[in-house]
Amino acid sequence: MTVLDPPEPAAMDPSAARREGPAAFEEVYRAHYRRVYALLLRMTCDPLRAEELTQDTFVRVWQTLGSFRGESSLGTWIHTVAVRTALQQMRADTRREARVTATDDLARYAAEAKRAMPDTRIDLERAIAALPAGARTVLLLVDVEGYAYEEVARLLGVTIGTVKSQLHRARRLAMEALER
Amino acid sequence: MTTHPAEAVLHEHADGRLDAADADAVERHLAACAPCRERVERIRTLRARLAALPRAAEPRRDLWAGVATRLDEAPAPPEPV
Repeated sequence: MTVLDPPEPAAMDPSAARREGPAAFEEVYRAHYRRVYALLLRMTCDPLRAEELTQDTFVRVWQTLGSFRGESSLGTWIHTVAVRTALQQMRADTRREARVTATDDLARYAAEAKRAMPDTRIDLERAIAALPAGARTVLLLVDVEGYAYEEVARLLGVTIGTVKSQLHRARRLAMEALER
Repeated sequence: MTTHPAEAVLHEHADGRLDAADADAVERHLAACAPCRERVERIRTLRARLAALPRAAEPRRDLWAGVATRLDEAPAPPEPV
């Protein structure tokens, strides 16, 4: 991932969390849950599901702390765990393959996005939410979160060509939605 | 470049992913083609707006208690190998 904010406090030491137990892990959670929830809310367009997946992500982070080698920042690593957790769940749930088309669903999502991220742009949030799930995921990872094409291809288990075609489709659909 | 570049090429140009020779060819085309210039500008505008979206969101409730309960039931993570 090329973009990360905010900088991580020095106290966010996964080794300390590992030594000192779950209570110490709360500090890691508090430093990162907002970014995880934002990504998962946009990926799922479903607040309840995003909350569950945020919890699943941090349980998995705890369980796999031993595999964190510090090659990336802890925030980048947690973010990748969140993406993988969400993708696994979304693949298992074919309902999420459908885009959010029901007017009520879109309105509910837009209301939650505005509450959770008061500075966001609702026209953009609605355009993203209305995308097909696969195209939405690629757009979020590349254009919102700043992942490189190659990283997205690896995460999704697809070719770079597929990432490009999904991204271009997503942008085209989003531009059309924004201009309507 | 006398024919219009494919849409995919315009996206890759907007992303800065073309090599120098291809980027030069697209730039020469854009200098002479207002519709393609406008397409690239629309892509760049969308990218900039998406990159400026907030990337932190507050859940409706505190989720830590639910995480902590599950951590108490999980084994301690192993040391790095």
